[in-house]
Amino acid sequence: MSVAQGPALEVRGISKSFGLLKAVDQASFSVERGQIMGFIGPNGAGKTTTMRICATLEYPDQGDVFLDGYSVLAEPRSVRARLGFMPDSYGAYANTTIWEYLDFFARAYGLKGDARRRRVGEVLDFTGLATLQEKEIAGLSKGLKQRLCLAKTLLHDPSILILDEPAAGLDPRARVELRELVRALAANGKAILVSSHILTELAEMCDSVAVIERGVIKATGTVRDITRRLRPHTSVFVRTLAPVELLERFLAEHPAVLKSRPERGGMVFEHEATPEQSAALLAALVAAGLQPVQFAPEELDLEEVFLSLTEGRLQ
Amino acid sequence: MSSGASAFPDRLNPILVKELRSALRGRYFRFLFPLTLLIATAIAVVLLVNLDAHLHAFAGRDFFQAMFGCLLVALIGLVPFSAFLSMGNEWDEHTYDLLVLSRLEARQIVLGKLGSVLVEAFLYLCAFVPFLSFAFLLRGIDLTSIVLLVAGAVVACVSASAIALMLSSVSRLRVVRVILMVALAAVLFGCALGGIVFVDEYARDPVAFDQAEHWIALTITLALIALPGLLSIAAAASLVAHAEENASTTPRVVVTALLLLLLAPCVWMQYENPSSNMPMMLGVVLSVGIALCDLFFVTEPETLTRHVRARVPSSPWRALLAAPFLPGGGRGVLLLLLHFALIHAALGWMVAVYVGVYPGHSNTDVRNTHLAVLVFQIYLFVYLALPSTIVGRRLQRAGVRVATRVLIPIGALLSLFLPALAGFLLRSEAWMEMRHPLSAPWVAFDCAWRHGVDGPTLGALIAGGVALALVLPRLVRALDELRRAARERARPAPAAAGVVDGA
Repeated sequence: MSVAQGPALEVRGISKSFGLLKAVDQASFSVERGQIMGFIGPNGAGKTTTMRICATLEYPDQGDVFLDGYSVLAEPRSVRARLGFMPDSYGAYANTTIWEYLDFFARAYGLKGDARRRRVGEVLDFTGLATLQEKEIAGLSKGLKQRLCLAKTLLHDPSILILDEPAAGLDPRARVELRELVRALAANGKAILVSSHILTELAEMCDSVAVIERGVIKATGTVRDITRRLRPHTSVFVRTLAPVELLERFLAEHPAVLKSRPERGGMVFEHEATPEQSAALLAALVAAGLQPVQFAPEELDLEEVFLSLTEGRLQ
Repeated sequence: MSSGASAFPDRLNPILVKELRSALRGRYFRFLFPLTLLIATAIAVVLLVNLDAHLHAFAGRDFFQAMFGCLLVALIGLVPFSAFLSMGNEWDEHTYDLLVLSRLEARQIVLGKLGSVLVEAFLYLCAFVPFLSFAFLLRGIDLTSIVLLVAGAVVACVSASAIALMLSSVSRLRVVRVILMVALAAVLFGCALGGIVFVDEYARDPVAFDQAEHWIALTITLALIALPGLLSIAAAASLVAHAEENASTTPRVVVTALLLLLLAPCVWMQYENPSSNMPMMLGVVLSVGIALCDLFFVTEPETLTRHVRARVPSSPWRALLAAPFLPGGGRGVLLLLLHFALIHAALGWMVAVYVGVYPGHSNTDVRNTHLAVLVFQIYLFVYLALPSTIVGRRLQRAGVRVATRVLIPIGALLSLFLPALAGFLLRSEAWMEMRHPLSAPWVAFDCAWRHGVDGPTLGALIAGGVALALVLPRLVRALDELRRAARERARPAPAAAGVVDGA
């Protein structure tokens, strides 16, 4: 088989139960090449189980996952050759230096001789660990250990990366550095599925998100798409030099405005908006002599999307 | 570039490379290796200082015993323990998943770990060579004895290390591993102590090894020491393998191969020196041994995982032929029956050899060998197949599986001894002496072997038939699952999105 088109990672209706607990229930989504997808959900939502299924560490009770067209059920070895998985509890060996750790995994992935040494050097350079290669892992900071784990994940040059909570426990600088590394990898055409509890982090990093709760995928797509689905009407914040009462009366009488409420010294209103309608509304405000000083469409951020979609119930 | 960049060739097992790097730098080896040598040196100095001139002829022997004792502690105590910790670290350090995702196979992981502890053993051995050579120069112990005892210690070290690796792979729960570690430490201590006592006895009255029988006995002894190790390697590899993957076929094949390997020399020995008792003893011993191995297969969960189902031979006939070697309790019962049949085939040949050599021999016991072994096997079949069939689907749960595997041998022993206890209370002499229908040795040896089909033998045969009838639906289900899996595989799969057939 050879891969032609289609998503790099395709999750097709997978379910997984542990005893009576249904950890994942008919989950489906896909990640394209060069795309970073954020995978978000409350604790115990099924993120790690889904990711472990994608990584062939668990097998689904139903459904299947395809990586570059290879099934995790039928061809797990082919999947593993294309996959880089960074688990939330990464492993590190005692009495081992950074170089020895990477050399071991390079051997474990079948890299030989000069190719292995070259590849270890490349990932050390990419992750900025080259100067620390003789240091023992036990003495590394959490951020450096995360970098080391990412370096290990990249050793066999996988086309798909699955990163489970890579930014957990990192300081702000390490987080920014990790984000840059992940972006650089996506720019190289790798498909990346990344989970995190730090939603602002994901919002800046990801092209799309998948929201999961109680094992069920609640929404997938870009944050903008999901927002549109959640809020079909555009929400606009407007502030004028004229008194708020006048603005409120104007909006209440305008036929295009669906509802409004006072907020932050101005008004927030919703209307069925096209850019033309928004422009016409702004022109009407000016014509009515209300002297608008702020007229800004309000978009949901990832945190609000997440809260809107999930109920916060644990299973 | 690291200084260690080219220290290890590419062809070496990656686990071995990693373990050696880590172990030689680790505290466990760096502390214990010099400590062992220090203790051995101290003992050597004390012995030499107190060397009695009158007993000069035995000085070498005493010196050897002391040094070999130290070596035994290292080889049978410290090295296997190191193997146990090494495998346990993979679970504790969360590195197991990373290994599974690499191209390493479970077998490579186990053999790599075993290889690294053997290098450790080799270092101990090298360190003790001067002491053992000095013992030889002091006289009182011959070179053959030294070499054979060291070889025996090395085989025991390999076997004990493999068992330690297997035990360490049993559970990822730390508390379980701590319990197993304590048990292992106690057993290793006992083995080391037993080894020291054996060497003491042997050194006083060494075997000359001037007859072929001596070498055969030595080979069999070494094989018996190595056998649990080989089985443990197969078991450890299956325990380390991914839970969904087929971890059963390799051990099944290994056990079958070992059975054939054990049968072959016995058949040859019977050919060289026909014996009337040998077939019976062999049949019973091998049946018990194989039943203990098959206990694990018979108590496996019944259904195939999706991953394994996708790999069942697509031809129904090939799937059927492979059935005893595929995972699942029902198919484990088929393997048990196959193993019993292989034993009977070997027995048939051995009995024929005996009867051929001694055609006029009137001893009918030999002709009853098949019947006696069959009766014995019926008991084993009932103990293994019936409880596991009753537990059925609940074997899917790990706890039930472990409990079943523990309770079956206990139940078998209780069925043997409880009537004896009842006989003691009821003052029944026959029962007290184990002459009761639940006593397999009595029914097989005293009834079937000596008298052919008499009352108790007939009862055992009927019980076997009933047990087989009860287990039959399980066997049919096991085969039917394979047939369905083969049919699913034969059906063309819908193409995955984004994938086209290559040229």
